Amino acid sequence: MKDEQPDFSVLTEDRGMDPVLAGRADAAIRAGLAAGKERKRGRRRTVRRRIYAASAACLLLLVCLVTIRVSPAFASAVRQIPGMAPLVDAIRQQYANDQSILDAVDNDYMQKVGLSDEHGGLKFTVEGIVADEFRMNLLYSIKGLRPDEQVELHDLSLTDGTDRQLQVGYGSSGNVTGQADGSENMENISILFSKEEPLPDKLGVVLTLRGQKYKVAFAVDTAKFGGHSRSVPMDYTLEAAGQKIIFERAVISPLTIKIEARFAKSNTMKIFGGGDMKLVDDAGKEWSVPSMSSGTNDPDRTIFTFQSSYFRKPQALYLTGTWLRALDKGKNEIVIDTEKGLLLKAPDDKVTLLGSTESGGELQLRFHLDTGRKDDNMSYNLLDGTFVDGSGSRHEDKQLGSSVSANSDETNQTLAFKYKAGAYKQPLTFTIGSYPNYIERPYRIPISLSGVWDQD
Amino acid sequence: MDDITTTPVLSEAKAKDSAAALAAQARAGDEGAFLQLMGDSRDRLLRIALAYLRSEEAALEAIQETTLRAYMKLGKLKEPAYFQTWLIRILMNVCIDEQKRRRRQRPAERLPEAPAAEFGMPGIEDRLRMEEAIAELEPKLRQVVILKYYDDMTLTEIARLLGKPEGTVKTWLNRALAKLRAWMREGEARDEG
Repeated sequence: MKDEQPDFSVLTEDRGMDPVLAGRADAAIRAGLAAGKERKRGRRRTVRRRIYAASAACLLLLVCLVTIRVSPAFASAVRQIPGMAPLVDAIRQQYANDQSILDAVDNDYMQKVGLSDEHGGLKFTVEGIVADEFRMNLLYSIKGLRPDEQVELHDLSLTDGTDRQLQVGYGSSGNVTGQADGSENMENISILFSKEEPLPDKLGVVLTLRGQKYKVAFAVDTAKFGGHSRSVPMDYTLEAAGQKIIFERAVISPLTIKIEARFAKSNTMKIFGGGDMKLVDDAGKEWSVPSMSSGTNDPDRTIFTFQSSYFRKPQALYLTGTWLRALDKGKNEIVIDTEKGLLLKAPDDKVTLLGSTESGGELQLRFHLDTGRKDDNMSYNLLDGTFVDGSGSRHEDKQLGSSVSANSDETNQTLAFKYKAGAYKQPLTFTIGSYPNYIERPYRIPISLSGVWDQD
Repeated sequence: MDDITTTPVLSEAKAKDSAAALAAQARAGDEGAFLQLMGDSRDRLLRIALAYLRSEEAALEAIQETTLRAYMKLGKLKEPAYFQTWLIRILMNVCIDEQKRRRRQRPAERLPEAPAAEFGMPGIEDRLRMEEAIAELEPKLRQVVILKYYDDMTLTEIARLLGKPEGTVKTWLNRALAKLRAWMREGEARDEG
C-alpha cells in the first residue's frame, strides 16, 4: 500500500454484476413500485376498508392498517405460464404487503377464475383467488367506469353458490374511482373462515354497482387449498406486569400461522393483543400480521395470527415483541346514555363519543379514538357487540355491524357501531373489545419446527 | 488525487438528454418510463447499497425502499436531467436510515471478523480490511468515500448530490483518507507485530 493514498482499486476489482443478484434487484424495483402504487391508492382513499362481521358467526375481527416493508420478490416462475402473468402481477400489486400471498403465487398456489358479469358496459370480473383453510384473498376487477367516476360497492355478500349467505367475516374497499386512462380497477376482498363456516366448495360474490346487481359464482379448488395445515405444540408462559399468557400451540398453513394461547385465571387485566408481536424465522425474516384476522369469543383464550412462512420451510420461528395491549378488568366497559348522546364512563380520555343517532330502526354510535401511539396501527374493535341495558338485561345479538375509518399515518381513528334500535332502558353498558392501553415487555419465544416439514 | 472533469462526448450527451426526457415522462405519471430509469440505474444503486450496507439482503431491501420513495416523490423532482443524482440521494438516505435502525436493534454489534485468507484470493484480505475501515467512518465521510471510490463520482457531482459546497466535500474526503490511512497502518502494524 502506498503511504499517501490507500489503494482503493481493491474495492472495485470485480465489478461484473452477478446475474442472479441483478435479477433480484430487478424484482426489488418492481416490488418497490408495486408498494408505492399501493401506498398512493391507500392515501387517496379515506375509508380504506369496509369491514363486515357476520353476526351469526360472531367473529371478532382484528384489522390492521399497517404497511409492512416488502422483501425483494423472487422471479416468479408462474409468471412464465401463458396467460398467468397479468394475474400474477395484479396479485403482487394488490398484496405487496402480504409476503405469504407473494410466496404462494411464486409457488403456483393460486387459482385463476376469470368469470364475469356485465351490465350496461360495466363489467365485474373475479380474476382469481389465493386461499387456505383460514382465509381467502379474492382479486376482482371492474371495467367500464368513466374516468374519475366514483361508484359505491353496495350490498356486497358472499354465498355458497346458491342463495345461502356465508357467515364469514370479510373486508373490501367501500368504493372505487374510475382510472383517468379508462383502464380497469383491480380490487380485492379478504375473507375469513371459521370452524363453523370453512372454506367452501363453491363461492358466489354478489354486489350492487350503479344500482344493478352483479353475481359471479365459481368452484373453489379445495383440493389445492385445503389440508395443508400442521400443528406444533408449545409450552411457554409469558409474564408481563403480573399477567400471564400461556402459549399452547402453533398451527401452520400456507397463508396463515395461528398461535393459540390462554390467559391465567389470576390475571387482573384483560389482554387484547400482541401490539408489535411478530414472528421471526430462522433466516431473520419478520412475519407480521395479515391485514385482517379473526380472534376467539372465549374470554380466557386468544389466537395470534400471522402471515405464514410455510413455503420457506423454516426450522424455527421466534415469537417476538416489545409491548402488549391490556386494560384493567375493572375498567373494561363503556357506559353511554344513547338517548341523550352522553358518554358516562370510559377507561380514559382517549375515546370520545362523536354522536348517537337513530334512524331506520338502527342506532348508530360514532366514536373518535386517539391511541397517541404512532406504531400502533390496529383498527380498534372498541365495542365487542354485547351490552347490558339500564334494567340489567343483557343483549348479545343487537350489533348489526361496525366500520373503522383510519389513516395509517395518524394516531386517531373514527369508529362507528350499529345496533338494532329499541326502547332500551338507559344507560347502556358496553363491553370493550379492544382498547389502546399498553404494557411494555420485550420477549422472544422459540417455536421449533424441526420435523414439521417431513410430512411432505 | 485530483478530479478530472471530462467533456462529455456526443453519445453521452445524447444519453443524458434521453434520460432527462424519460425522467420528465416518469414525473408526468408514465410508469414505463419510471421502470426504465430504475432499470438503467440498477447496477449503480446495487453497487452503492452493497458498499454501504455490506449485505445482499439489506442492499436489495434498500433498493426496494428507494424505488418506493422515488415513486412517491416523483412529483417533487425539480430537474429531470439530474434524476440519477436525485435517486442516489434517496438511496443514501435509505441506507443511513437502515444503518440507524440496525444500530438501534443491535447496539452491541461488532463487525464480524474477516475470514481473510481462507478464500485464497489475492487482494481479498486488503479488500475486507479496507471495507471494514470504511464501515467505521462517520456517516458523512463514509458517503463521500463510497460515492467517490465505488461509484467514480467527481467531487462536483458528490457536492451536488449532498447539497454541500465542493470545498466542504473535499475537506471531508481528505479527512476520510487520513483516517483510513491511519487505520490501515494500524492494521498492518498489528499483522506484522
